[in-house]
Amino acid sequence: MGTEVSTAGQDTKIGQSMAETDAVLEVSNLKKYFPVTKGIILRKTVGQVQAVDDVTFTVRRGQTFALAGESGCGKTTTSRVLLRLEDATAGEVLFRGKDILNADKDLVKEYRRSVQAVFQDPYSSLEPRMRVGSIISEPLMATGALPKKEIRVRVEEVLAQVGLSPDAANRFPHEFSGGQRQRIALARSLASSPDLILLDEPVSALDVSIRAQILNLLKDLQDQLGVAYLLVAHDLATVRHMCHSIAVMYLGRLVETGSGEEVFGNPLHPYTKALLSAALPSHPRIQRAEIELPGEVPSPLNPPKGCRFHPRCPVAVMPQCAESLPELENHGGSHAVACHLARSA
Amino acid sequence: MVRFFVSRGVPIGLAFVLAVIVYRAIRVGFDSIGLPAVGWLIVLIVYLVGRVGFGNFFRVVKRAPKLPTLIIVAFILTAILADKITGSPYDQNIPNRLQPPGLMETLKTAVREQRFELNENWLGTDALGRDVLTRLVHGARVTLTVTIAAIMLGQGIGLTLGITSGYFGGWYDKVVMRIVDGAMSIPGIFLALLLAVVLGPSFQTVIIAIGLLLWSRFVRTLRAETMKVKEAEFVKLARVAGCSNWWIIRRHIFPNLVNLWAVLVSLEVGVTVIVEATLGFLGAGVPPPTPSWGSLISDGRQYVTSAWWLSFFPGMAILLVVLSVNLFGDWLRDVLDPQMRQRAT
Amino acid sequence: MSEVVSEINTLRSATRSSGQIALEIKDLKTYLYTRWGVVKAVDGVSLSLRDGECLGLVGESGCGKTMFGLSLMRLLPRPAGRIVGGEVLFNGEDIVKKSEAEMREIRGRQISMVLQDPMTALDPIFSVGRQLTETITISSDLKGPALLERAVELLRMVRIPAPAERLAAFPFQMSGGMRQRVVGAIALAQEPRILIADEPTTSLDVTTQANYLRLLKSLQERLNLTLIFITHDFGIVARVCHRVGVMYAGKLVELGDVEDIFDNPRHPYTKCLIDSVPKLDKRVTRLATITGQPPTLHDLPPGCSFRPRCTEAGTHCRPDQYPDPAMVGDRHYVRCWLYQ
Repeated sequence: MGTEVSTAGQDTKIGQSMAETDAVLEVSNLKKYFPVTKGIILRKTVGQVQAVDDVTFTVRRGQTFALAGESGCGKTTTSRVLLRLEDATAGEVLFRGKDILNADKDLVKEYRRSVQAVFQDPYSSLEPRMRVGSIISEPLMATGALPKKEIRVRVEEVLAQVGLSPDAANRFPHEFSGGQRQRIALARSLASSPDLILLDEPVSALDVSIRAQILNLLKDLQDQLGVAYLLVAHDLATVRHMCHSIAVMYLGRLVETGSGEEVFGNPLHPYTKALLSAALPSHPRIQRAEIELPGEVPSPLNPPKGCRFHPRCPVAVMPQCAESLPELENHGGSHAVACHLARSA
Repeated sequence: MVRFFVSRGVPIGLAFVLAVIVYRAIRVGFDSIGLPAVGWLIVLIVYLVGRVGFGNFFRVVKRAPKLPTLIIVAFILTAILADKITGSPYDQNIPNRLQPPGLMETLKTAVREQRFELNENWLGTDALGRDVLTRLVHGARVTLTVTIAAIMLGQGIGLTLGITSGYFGGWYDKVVMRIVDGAMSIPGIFLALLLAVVLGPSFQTVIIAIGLLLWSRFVRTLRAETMKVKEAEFVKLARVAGCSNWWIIRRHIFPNLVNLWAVLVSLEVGVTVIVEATLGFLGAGVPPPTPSWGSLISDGRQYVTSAWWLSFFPGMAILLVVLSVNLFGDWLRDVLDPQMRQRAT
Repeated sequence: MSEVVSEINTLRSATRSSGQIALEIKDLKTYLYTRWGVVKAVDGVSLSLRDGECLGLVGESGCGKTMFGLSLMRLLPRPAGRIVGGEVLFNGEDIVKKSEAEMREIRGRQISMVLQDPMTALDPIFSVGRQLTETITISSDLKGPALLERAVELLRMVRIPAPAERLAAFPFQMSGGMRQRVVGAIALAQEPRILIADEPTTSLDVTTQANYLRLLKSLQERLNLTLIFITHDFGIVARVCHRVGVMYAGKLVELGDVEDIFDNPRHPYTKCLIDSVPKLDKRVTRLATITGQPPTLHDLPPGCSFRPRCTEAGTHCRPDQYPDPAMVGDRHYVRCWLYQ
């Protein structure tokens, strides 16, 4: 973090000592830069895309942590790094207190067993050539988590948990509808009894009526099994419905974090406010004062100097907005905001 | 244990025995492959029945294109049982040279002279009085062996390099692709002629030449498809589930390439038969007096105006077989896709 | 706040009632002849639209709402799709009976369409300017600078910054939101009276979607466009539409003014659809759900096709007959046995 000892820094430390009891995943100062190269034979690095920059958060046992933001904000890259599909550039990720970015083979195996994922597209996330039973049992087979005799039983168990009949195991994915496929994907992620499931836009490809089914199912499973969710989503209504705590991302950085009540009840960052105002109303008579953001999200290749949001910020800009990058600062409870204006206010 | 044997043992065993058969055909001669080859075909069919399911298998087979399948089966049986159906292709009978096709002559005499006299040489005789039908039947054996062996060689190299370079990428991929570019820029026929000059025209030379002609096409296409499949979410999820690279290639990449692979193989069968014929025509093929379809056409070249049947019948045989294999390949592609399979039945 | 609201409401109803009838659809039936059987994608839909009115057509995927839009354009997938019955009266003439050549005159100039995916709606190998000018020249004989000026004007109309420079840009150089605006500009290039928008914002981000909807709304009011907005999201309907039609399995099960529908949804399906969306302003612990899966259209149950999933189904539901439309309010009808 910054050179000055900010309150946020202290809070993280307090958070850590408290978190030892119930933190599943602690991410601190995570960075992921993609080098931009030029030339075919003689390659030169000409720049860096700062897809994820200095991201810190904690996912607690049995709770839902949401990463919210629009496309290009780095939430998906963060999830890919946490799933070890991409290497991190810098930072630390502790899983139950153990560093998993520099883990040995055994720890990686344990991590693979304990962390599963459900992706957005229920069509591309299920292998079309495997039967549902094999799809669900793959995580168990690959890690050798269960003896082979018990796998069959476990598959039927998780199918029942997601509300599908046991004979689904013998069918192919294409015989199921989108909602059912997402249930199968969920069953697969539950098979190895994970502590954490990463949900990357789990319902945004589904019909509205099916979304509600899946969201209810996710909540029920959390109550029953005590599994933690890391929810990556752009739809704030879904996030609000699901999450215990939330982090809002913009251009690779966290702009506001806190519990659901704190952030939705009292949004402090202008970007969070704009996002909330852009959400669709639940009744035609509700006319929200819409905050129109000028322009588009700039390219993360050359992020603006100073606060990354300042060129689009609808609030009067102070001189330091264009000069220095604001750090997350505590605003009571677990609520932290990275904005110069919020501090002065 | 039984499951393991069926799922892994049988395909590996089948591939091994096929390799042995082809090896024996090349080293010892074609006459020794008849029985093992028939046995191999039977095991293959039994295995496929088990794999697809008894009921399904017959439903699927019913939808197979009838005429092409018949022609392919006839072609394979003719090749295997050549010396049981007909006599030696080398028996000369100079006084009986350049006899026109007997069937037609019989018909002609029957119409003109109201006399029925069966001519022995149904498809006529060549310049040395050898029976064209006998040579065609024995030529089928040569053509089949060359086709299987050359395609085994070509697709073997192509599949291995295509999948690995597409999957692992990086410098390895670059090296492989540059080699492929190089290989594709050499005219195939020139390469074959060069090999024929260096190694001397022989059965093995033809196989190696055609194999070297084919592999680069397999690499190109299969690599591109691998890169596409690799990006699918189910592959990412497999990595999240802790699957090894080998597992992913075996369980996800290859099964999704099988369609394309089957189509490529069936297309290349056509190419192989034609290239073999071209080489025979140019005199760089299987050396005389061994009959191959290409050399049969080539031998008939100087008599085209007087004895059309010498080139016509081998030409027709090539046309029928190539066409049948291509149609059969289309069907095979559908059968290998679970979704298409259901539609096809 | 309430004053503003009532003002908006009077404004809305004013535009609604003053307009002339732009499009009248009577008992439209569009069937798809597939190898699995006849799919009744649109099965007897009737409604009429006034000038400057915005109709939201809501339903789950596969309910036939896209086929309804394509039927109005006569752009059904061939050879499977066919309009088998009904009338679509536009300017007093029946579109269903028009020849293909006559339809070409209507498409784009009178009735235009914006599709869901801005990535595939634009041709990647031509510049935006070229695609736009091409469309303009279909119905006008503008040339040279005048043509370019018109293109710039269209881009300005959909609020694309620096429109003159953007003419030379290729689709891949633009973001999704910008591309969807270009698609909108192309659709409006020939000044149509009716615009059909088929889920134009599903692939857009939250703030981009809000901007796009605001733009569409202001364009609609300024150009007095008749808008048919096909969506599965009641939030969008609440944001832009005057009237709502709810489609289920090829049939229009409820049709009414937007506030009426939100205040008193009558059909059990409409109620479920509205309640199943998580809301920012109202927190609930559990969402209402519709049990089961959307039906497959070639294998519908007899009687009311929603009955197997309906929570309010009972003995009042006749098993063999589909309920007729019943008026339950001013300009509000529902097809459900509860109201017969």
